[in-house]
Amino acid sequence: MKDKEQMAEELREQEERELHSLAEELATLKQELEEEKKRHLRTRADFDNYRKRAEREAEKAKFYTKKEILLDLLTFLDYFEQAGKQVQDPAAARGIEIMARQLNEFLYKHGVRPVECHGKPFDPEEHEGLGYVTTDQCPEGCVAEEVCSGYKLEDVLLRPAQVMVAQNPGS
Amino acid sequence: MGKAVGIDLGTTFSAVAVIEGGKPEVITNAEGSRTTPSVVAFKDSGERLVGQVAKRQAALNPEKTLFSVKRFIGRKYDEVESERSLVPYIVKAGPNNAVRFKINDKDYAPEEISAMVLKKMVEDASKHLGEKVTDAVITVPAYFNDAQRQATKDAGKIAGLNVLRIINEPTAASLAYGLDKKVNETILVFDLGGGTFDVSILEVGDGVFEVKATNGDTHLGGDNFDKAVVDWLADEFKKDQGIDLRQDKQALQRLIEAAEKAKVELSSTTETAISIPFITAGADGPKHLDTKLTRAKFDDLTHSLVERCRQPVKDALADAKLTEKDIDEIILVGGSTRIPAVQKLVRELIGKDPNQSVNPDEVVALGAAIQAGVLAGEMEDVVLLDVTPLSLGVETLGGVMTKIIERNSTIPTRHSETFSTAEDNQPAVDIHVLQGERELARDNRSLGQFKLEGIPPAPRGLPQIEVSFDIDANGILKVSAKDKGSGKEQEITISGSTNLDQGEIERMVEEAQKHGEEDKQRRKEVDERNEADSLAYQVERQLNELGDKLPVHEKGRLEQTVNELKEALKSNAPIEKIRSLHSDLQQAAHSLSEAAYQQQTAGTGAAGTTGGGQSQAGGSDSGGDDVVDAEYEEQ
Repeated sequence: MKDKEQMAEELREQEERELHSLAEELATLKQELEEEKKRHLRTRADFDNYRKRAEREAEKAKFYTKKEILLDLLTFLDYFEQAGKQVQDPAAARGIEIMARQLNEFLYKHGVRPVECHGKPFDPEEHEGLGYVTTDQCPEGCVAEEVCSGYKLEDVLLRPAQVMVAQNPGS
Repeated sequence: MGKAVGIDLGTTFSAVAVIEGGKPEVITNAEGSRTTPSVVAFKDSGERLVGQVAKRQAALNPEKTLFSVKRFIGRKYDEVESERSLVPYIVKAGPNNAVRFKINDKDYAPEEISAMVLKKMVEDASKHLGEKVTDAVITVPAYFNDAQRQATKDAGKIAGLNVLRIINEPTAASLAYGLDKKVNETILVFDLGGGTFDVSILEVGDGVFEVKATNGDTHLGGDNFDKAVVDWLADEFKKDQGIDLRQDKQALQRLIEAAEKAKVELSSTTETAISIPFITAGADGPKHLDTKLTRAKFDDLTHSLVERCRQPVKDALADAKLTEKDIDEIILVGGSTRIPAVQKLVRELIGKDPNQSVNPDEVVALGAAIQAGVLAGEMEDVVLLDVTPLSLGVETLGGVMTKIIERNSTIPTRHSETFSTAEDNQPAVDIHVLQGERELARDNRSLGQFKLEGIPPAPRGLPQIEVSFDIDANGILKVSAKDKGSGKEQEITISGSTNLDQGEIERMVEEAQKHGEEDKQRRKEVDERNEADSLAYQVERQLNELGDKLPVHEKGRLEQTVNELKEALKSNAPIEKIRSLHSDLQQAAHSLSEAAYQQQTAGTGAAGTTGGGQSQAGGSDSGGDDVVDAEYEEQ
């Protein structure tokens, strides 16, 4: 009799143990599933953000490619401007002036705008200061001389104007 | 918690990077640059400028423009006497003999100034990422002492950052190359930046880096190389023209720009032209600078600078009690290590090729980002994703391979494409699954083959057979083909499409590159044959429908041309013959198109003008110019 009772008891205990381990396993699995779900959501979100940024960046990349090319072109505008100043022969000077104008028009069409500087207060957002000149032609701290012109593409700086800044005599 | 970034806080420039999808990426600043000058300036109004903007006004405002602050951080006033004499701003002793900068009657600690640089970088990064950056790993030179490290950490805190860790620049560079996984290796990091030169020797084991020795030259960098070229150009010009360009500020600006450009170009070419037309005007008219600089001449001009790198490397080896043979890896850091003469010196000193696959301007920031990613737990979530080593596809008409999944696609992935039949009333299609990069099916590896049967009778080009490739995370490929019309489906499962050994993959990719041109030619030929075949088929169909609308001689001519072309295709005639017959048929088919057009307008009345060309079976274009290849024709 006792043996039977004992056996039943043992059986029950074993069942309980099994039940307990199954419950534990279920809990672990639930937790794992929860974690996987979270991870999945996070990946989805990451991907979504990545896609959005990729779109933005593709736009930006287009802009920067244009910027690079236009920036290189500006070198030639510099040459024309320099040539216009230096060439003495009137016919040649006129020819150079026309070429400079055409290049200018081309750049304008593509959104390139010169940086205003003459007489403006020095602004490092758009100007690069090379040094001071003593003058009374211009208020102190304003741009007295443009050494190399600056340009913007829409409202992004292509290159700063390189300038000399006025220092009034006796200041 | 927000994002964690890695920051290379440099003497002249700084850079920031972040982990994205398990990979480090450098983040551009608000101005669109990948690096930010480590410069802070103060206006009279007290307003602060940081980065490029500060640099632009440096010449006007030398006493209030702070640069090279890294040379002062965490140091005592007495220790920096020589550095003090090199900067135009006021350096004074503060509490406990600490370094202070005097600006507008206010004292600033170096860590406060560095914090301003860090703050700008982090703010720009936050904007770029669309997520607030809260944590950072910041790098310092390996020779920094505890005080310098603490001060750098404080700079991070002042900038509002949780500084996860301060790590050595050479360690960061090693991380970017994945050298932390190496066991007991000795690494030499050669860092020639804008203004400083550092050599570090590290030992790595169990993912831990130990600094064995450091050396360097605190005032040697890219700027010295630029100046050497400027001086040479100006001296040459003076010799030829008698004018010193250094006295003309406009000319000097152009000279500096041209010199830097020439230096960069000479890293990839052996000769470069330096041309500045109308650089200045003399008494006798305009003057131009137009000269060539060879790499040999450049090396000659900068020889003494390159030589200055030699002794520090030797000294570092000696300090570490090592010889050049003990060095397992060399890493190049800093833009100036792109100079071929510098690389040659490194090879000569160590007798090994350096690692240089990672951009040397960015390698430190990238490594810092990896460390940040690990510390912030962002790397844990990264499941290592496999890629398909080779392209997968099917054989299509003419024995060409049509790729469905391109090589290096990340798996798991699924792609499908719709094909069609090549013959009228074709009852079945063969799906031949291929792997490889070659254009022709027979040059690729065959993975398996199956047949989709029971396609209801239809003219060629009409049935839609959707072929899907699905690779699961374990690399098991399932290819299925489904006839959209009848719903009949057939599939095959192929395991082991990804477990090729590396050598086999490399061989296949290499072969594809080697045979690229001839494969393209052959592919083009097959495409042309397919186009010709498609045109012959169409014309034949239209002849059956509309033949009686044509004059008898026209009809006869067309029939003859179609037959000739079909015969030529069947007998695999030379491509020239196919081409000429193809164009003959195109010419002749014009009358047929006209007849078709007339019939349609007649049939649909006045409204029929929009109906042209659309009504043909198989979606083909009657003009013949735009015919797509058949059998598994792409829809």
